[in-house]
Amino acid sequence: MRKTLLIIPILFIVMTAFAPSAEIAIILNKENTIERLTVGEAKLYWLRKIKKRWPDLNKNIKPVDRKSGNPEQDAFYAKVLGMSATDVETYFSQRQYEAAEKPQDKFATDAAVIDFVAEEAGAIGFVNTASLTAEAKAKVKIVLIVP
Amino acid sequence: MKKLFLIIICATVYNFTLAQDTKIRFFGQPEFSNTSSTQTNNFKGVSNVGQYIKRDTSTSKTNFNTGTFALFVTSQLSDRISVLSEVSFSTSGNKSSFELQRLMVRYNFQDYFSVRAGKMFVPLGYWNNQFTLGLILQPTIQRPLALRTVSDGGVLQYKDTGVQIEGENITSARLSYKVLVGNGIGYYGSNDKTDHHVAVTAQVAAEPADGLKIIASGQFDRVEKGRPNPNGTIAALPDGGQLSLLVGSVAYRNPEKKPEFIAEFVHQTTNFDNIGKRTSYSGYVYGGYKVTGKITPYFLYNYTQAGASSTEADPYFAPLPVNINTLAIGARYKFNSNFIVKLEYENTLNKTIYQDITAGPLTLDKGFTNTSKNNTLRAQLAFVF
Repeated sequence: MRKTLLIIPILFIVMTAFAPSAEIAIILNKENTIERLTVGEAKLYWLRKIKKRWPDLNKNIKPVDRKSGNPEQDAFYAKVLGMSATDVETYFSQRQYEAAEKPQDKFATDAAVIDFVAEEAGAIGFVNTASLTAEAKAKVKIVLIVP
Repeated sequence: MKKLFLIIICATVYNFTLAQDTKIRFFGQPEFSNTSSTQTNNFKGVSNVGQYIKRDTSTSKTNFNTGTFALFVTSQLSDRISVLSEVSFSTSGNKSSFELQRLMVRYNFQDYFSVRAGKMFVPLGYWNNQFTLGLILQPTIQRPLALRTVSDGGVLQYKDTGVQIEGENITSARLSYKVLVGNGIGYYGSNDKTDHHVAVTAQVAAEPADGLKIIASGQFDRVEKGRPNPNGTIAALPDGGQLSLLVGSVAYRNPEKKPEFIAEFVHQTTNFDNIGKRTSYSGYVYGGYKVTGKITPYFLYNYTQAGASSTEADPYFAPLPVNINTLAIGARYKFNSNFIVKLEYENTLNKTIYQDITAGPLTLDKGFTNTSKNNTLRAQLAFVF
């Protein structure tokens, strides 16, 4: 009984340590007229599922991703997309091979994602909320925080 | 000439890499197969009462195949314009060949209206547009016979050169449409076209739930007397006529869900000018279940009936009526999005029905059939880099 009581908190600590824990923010270019997105909408726009161009902006939706192996990407895939990294790659590859659709742009750091979203009117990206300094907040629009 | 072509390809590839937003991918899919075949010939003999003769022959072969190697290039030239090219290289015996599979430019006005021009897959069905020559994306080792490309032993032409208008994400039911006007059957975009006929292929689809697609497609064209049929089993078609190909498709594939399902039915009718109407049909069902994120067992059943009876072959498909049943059971293991291994067992029953041999009122031979059974074990390594 004592062993069981010990195992439960250990398991909890281990699971918490491996769960995607980063708090992320979904960001858009300042020109974009959209002010708020739900998790479901963010997913559909990022995957270019319901729209391929922003409705008011009339620009291509450009999903922005991080290069693999970082907590921000893990959190975004798990909490927003509900897909594995392999599924995301396969999804974009399929659309690229079928209709010459450009796959997502990938960057090594949050700072690079913020700079790209600030420059590209149609971009939609995700970053760790810790990376959103006052300077970064001035460059992009935050439309969703995912704890 | 071949060297010059390769140099041009390399130079093009190099220049593309310098351009922004250009993606170059190489697909490889080497394959191992072991096939055992049994052929049975049945002669019923003279006028239903004569001899019955049965002959069996068995063969088997083991084969390592390099498979098709495909070079795929896409580039986003501007906010609205993208281009795509796909070239395949394959080896058969001592000969190697390449084929320009697709080459097209796409202009995206809005979600509900885009234009493509060039050589592309015709908008028929689900499988034909969803899975390319890069077999890493395809759930099975081979395409279902119903939708196999001619270069891969199939019977119908699934590529064409022309102009396509399309739109998607229309209304909340996510309706989409595609209409292609192209050169049509027997023409692959070369300059050998001498008539004014064009083929029209159209598709409407809905995605009422995420991953669930319901599609209706049709192709309407004229086949020309004297030209070969698409799969080359008839060197010169005995008659010309109007061809219509109708395809109904239902597919459910959602990366977030475990089950996956595709079913398609192809019905082809040719109204020949002199020999009359001939019909053939084919259909398949694919089902798979993601046991884990990496392992997916699956099955694929295909049924094809070319020609309606022993006396009514469909010259568009084959000189003799053919009935084909194929069942494949397999599993794929996805190491990651760039490397997949597939293992498959396939059983094919191919029945060819010969016409009765008659002399005046007498039937000299009735019901001669050739039945071919093939059992094949296949393994495929599909990768992209």
